[in-house]
Amino acid sequence: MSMMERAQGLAEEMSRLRREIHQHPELGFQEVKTAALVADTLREIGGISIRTQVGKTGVVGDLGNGDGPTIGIRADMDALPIHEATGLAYGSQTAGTMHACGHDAHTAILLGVAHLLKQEFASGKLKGNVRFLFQPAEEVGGDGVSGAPEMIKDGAMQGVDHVIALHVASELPLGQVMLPRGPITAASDGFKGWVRAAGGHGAYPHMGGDPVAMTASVIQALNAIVSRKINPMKPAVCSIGMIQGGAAFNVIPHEILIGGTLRSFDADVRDQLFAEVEKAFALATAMGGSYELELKRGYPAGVNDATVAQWMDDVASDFLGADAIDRHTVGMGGEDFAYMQQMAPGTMMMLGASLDDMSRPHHTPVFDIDERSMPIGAAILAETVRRYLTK
Amino acid sequence: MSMLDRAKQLSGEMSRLRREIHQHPELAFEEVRTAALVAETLREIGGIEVRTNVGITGVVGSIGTGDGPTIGIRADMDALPIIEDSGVDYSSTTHGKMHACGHDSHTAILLGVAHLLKQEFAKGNLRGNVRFIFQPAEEATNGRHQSGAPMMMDDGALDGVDHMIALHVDSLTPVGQVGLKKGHITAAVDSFKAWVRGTGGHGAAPHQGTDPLWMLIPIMSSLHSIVSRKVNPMHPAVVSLGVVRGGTVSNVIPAEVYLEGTLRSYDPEVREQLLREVESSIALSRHFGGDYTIEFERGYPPGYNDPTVTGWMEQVVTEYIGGDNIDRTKAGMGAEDFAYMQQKAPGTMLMLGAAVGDIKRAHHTPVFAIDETAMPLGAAILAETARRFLAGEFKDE
Repeated sequence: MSMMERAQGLAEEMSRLRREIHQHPELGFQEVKTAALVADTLREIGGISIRTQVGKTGVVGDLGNGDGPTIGIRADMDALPIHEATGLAYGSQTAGTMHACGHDAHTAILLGVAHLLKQEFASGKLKGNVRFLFQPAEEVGGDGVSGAPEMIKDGAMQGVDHVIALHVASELPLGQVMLPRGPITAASDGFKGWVRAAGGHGAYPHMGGDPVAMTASVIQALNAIVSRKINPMKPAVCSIGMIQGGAAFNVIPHEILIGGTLRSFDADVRDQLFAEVEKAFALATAMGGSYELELKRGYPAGVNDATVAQWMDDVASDFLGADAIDRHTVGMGGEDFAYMQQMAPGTMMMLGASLDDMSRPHHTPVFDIDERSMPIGAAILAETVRRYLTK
Repeated sequence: MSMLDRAKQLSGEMSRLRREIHQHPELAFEEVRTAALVAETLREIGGIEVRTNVGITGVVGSIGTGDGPTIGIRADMDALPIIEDSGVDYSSTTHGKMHACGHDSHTAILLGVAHLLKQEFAKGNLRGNVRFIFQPAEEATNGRHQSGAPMMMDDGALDGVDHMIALHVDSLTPVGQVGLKKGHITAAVDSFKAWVRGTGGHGAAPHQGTDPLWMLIPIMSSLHSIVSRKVNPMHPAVVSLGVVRGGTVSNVIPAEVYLEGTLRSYDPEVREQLLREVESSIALSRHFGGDYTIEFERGYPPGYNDPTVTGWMEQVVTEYIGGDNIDRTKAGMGAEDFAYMQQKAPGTMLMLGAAVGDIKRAHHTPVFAIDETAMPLGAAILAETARRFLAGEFKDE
């Protein structure tokens, strides 16, 4: 029986696990119930050495025969602070918290993969090891403080030669996958800047300094960074997400807060964005005010290793046909799997899981996936590992 | 003797031809003397069917066995309206015109290639044809807004051609290094001219009229935000203003301001999007009580290096200079009208390192110059790529 057929046989079990997790969503580093469910399930499967509380609430399972190469497979477990509005029978039972990015599915799929690979090792044809990485806190943002680097600090990637993962994509049709080579996720950094001046009475602008007028120039400069300063061959984004200031219509405020996000692939462009944002805020000084700027580094850019991507591509081609694979589409999203890819050459695949009823984007209250994608994802991950470890 | 060794034996001749052309630069569609030199040289080589006045001043040479596939090799011939200050002793004898982009060397190299391939056909090992395409006007368009490549294609220069190859010298890259990238290498280029109008008036009484200079503030801000706010960041794009002109004296608000700009892109949808967004920006003038007129001129399409043909050339280049001397990533927002030929026949353009190494001698500047020792390498790469293609020696990756 092919790996795909065997994965189809586990479809119900994966669905049950996913729905259990979906009903009890937990935010970053609070995945206690989820981690317990993961550890229990791995124990039931048997033959897997389990470590809990790796990277605070992460779980690591090791399966294998000691010698030979080691391949890691990662699933993230955390939910988002969103109030679910899908109307599903197994909707979140925790108001204000929701699995709105599919991490429930990732966790359930990886438990399915553990089942499948346990059986493979039992057949005695594999040489090497698999490490199941159940990661907390992918959504929290910030350089070095999310789940992946926390797990790495606790040794989760020690001895891992290659690492693979998948992410469901609610806008990609079922039966299709994305497997680009090279950069796949952007470095995502943030800034918060305060433009300050004396402020004053709205009727007497000439007696003080107006940070609102200065902000107009700062915003223009920020919006022109990508179009005027960055090499057009290098993808980059500078988006302002928040502007706050003022309390009354007739009072010129003394401070305006501008916050935004910066995205890039290239390390030089990443540094250049920081420098240009600083120059944009410094316009406030030139206009007689002052500024304070906090730059917050986030996840690095994630790079799909060409060799590992080809392994997965071969498997996905066998299961879905070569036409089902998009090898080019890449966006400016951030993913902390990038840290693991820095430790061991690896690949993340986007797994088509779209429901055809309506648009259900990630990070929205109506997010949902077609669960039939789960056996497909499990089969691709398990078969990639099986072929890699086959003697 | 290898093709490279044979090309090196022709280096004196190629240098002589290049200098002859360099001394007598001719602007777009005026390449009469250059075309005559080309036609005469092809006739001297012999065995080549020569057509002149193809695309106004272009020259086409055909050699081959008649049957089999046909590969085209293109060189451009036109100079630029620049006063030469390179210091070479064979400098331009025509004040205000200069070969400041290396087209003189492209033409001389292709004549060298014709020599080399004539010898190959004489051996009888090849089946197929080579078309030598000496193109006018890469740098400028005529009254019909057409440059040399589409003009030659209108005259049938590419009829029956299966693949196209070409090279461009690169004065900022050392000799012995090349750029050879699969996929997009040059951008689509379009341009716009816009007139923003108000009533104008007395500078002391701005409230009595409408001021097109004031309207420029949101318009320019909007134009400069198109790429950063409207275009998918995964798709390269540029909107740059090149001309802003309006007014005559300090105390008169003008009635009209004139703008010109260039638009660059790779993706066809982005190309259309840029045109729409530029018009939306200029149309802000209406919101402020003014009006506008806008004209777009469509330029060259994006240049796309066919992966298969690029792979062939890469095999040849790797043998001559080693794989480490190939930059496989070099692409930019520049434009090249060879892109039209690539649309018709899958093909590849190679960037040939030719830096002199003394000072920075950038393209389109008065001090532009190249190291002529790059020429035999370029000729050998083109000739050997054509030879192996017609000898059926390439194994596709």
